[in-house]
Amino acid sequence: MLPAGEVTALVGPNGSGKSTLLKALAGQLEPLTGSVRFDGDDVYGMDKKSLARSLALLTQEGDTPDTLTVEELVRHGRYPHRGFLETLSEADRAAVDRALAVTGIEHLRETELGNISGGQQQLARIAMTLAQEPEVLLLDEPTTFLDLRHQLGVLDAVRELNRDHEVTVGVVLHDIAQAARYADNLVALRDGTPYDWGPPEDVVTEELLAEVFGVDATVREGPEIVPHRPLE
Amino acid sequence: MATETDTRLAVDRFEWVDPTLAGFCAVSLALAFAGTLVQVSFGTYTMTLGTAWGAVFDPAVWLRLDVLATLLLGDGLAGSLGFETEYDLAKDTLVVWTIRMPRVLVAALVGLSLALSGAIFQAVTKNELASPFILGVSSGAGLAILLTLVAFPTLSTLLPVTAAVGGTLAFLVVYAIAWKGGTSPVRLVLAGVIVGTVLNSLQTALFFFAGDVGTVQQAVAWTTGSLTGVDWEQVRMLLPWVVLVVLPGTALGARQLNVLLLGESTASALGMRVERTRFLLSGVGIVAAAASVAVAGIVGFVGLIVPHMVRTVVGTDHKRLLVGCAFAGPALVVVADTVARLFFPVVVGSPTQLPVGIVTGLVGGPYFLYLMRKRQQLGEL
Repeated sequence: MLPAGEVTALVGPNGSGKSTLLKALAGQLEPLTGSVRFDGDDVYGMDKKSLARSLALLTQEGDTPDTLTVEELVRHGRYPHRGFLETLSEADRAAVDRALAVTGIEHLRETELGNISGGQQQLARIAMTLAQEPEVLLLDEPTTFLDLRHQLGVLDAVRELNRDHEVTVGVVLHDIAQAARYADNLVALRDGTPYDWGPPEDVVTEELLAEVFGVDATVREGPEIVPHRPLE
Repeated sequence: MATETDTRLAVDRFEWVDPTLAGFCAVSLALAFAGTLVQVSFGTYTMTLGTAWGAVFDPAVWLRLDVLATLLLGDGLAGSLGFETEYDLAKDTLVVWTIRMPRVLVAALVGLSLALSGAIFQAVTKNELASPFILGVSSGAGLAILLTLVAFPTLSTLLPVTAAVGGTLAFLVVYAIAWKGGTSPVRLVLAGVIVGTVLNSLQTALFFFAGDVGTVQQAVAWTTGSLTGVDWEQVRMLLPWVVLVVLPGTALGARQLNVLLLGESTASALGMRVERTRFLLSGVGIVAAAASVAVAGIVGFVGLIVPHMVRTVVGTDHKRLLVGCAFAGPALVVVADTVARLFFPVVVGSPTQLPVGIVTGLVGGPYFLYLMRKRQQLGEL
């Protein structure tokens, strides 16, 4: 489903099951039929902490306590690596520092979450998942509610991670145009079932936009999408 | 090299202790101590504060293992362990240590337990309106105590146990009602209010079955929360639960509570078994609440407002919050009980003592109203 070392985007209209599928992949919602495998192991049979050491999920929950500092939040990413009574080790600190560096928010380290913008908060939450040092990173709509500049910032950070640290990424994106530009692969969902999957240039067609999204649009080279109007 | 790392790790372990927290704890301690001095110096046998100070720190108590053991373990157990249970003390010391000190100690332990219990329940339900009372734990424990007093008076030595059983059952019922493939703060609180209301009705109903007026009075004292007449026996009842369950449980649970605050699915994605953790932490909260209900009855508002007050000062980090609660809770109840015992005798000259629960209610209610007016939002943590 998610090819190793690549960025795969799950796209589809509201209610098509993107987030549900991502939760199932993350070991959060056991599917009634079928199984989720990670390197051949059933995700639902694995110990939760060891799963969290290799697979991180950025949820849509945004209600983190306002008085928490960015660094404190990112440190929680080390939760699966720490024993019951262990303090932060050198390795933990190094991972936190790296996560802050990759997301470019080192200067906010001591700042409380209540005092930074929504985009910066999202970067801090992504940094927390990076501190888990996962092989697979799953992101549930990381760009929703952000302004365009922060959207691009978040996606660039994710892309960089994938390229420089070989993290496999699965991401739910609302905006198919954005997904087509950023992802190596697309999975288009309609009514809870995959409609089509593959590289963006194969998947994004005028037919798909009409059938899955109900939109009349022109697809140009790239693929670049020019939407015209909703179909009845 | 190794020692260098060790010291650094030792320092890191306590890096969360900042001046604000230290100052807050120092103020709480000072308040609790002032309350203690006033409490032990006034009464039918009144002494000056200086004498009281001398009696509290009388080396004849602190430096003699026999005396300490007898007070903490009781005559029987201390005697069978080979401690000398007969001793002479100065009159002031005797009055302070045998009559007035246990009441202060019970007040402190009750304050500690209720404050920690409230802090745990607020984090577990992610709801700052939660407390052992809202979640039905206190009502369950209270009903169990009343049942014991009215129906099985012979079992009254087992009160902490019956209270814990009642509290646990009530919480389980609340949890079961709120459960729908998982729980949510709102569902938990709603279920708690429903169960609490039913249990309170049952408590009131039991009054009608109580045989004599004495039992009813005792029962009323339970439901308002009173420390009148507590003795070393109550200290002995409460202390083991606090030392063996409540303190270790909260110390171990602080980080888990912090992760729980990030939200259920985030905590789960970080590898926490959320429902199990919630349940274990709730267990610690239940023991804390039930133990204090067993010795002092239902002392209202402490579990609700102490975590609030501490949170506004030290923030939401639970290492800081729980330590702050462990100091502020005792301070509040010790001072409140001093007021409860001495207000009428000293100000009006009548010998009436108020139940401490009435004082905490009178302080807690307005404080909570003030919070409600000041803050835009109250509820979700």
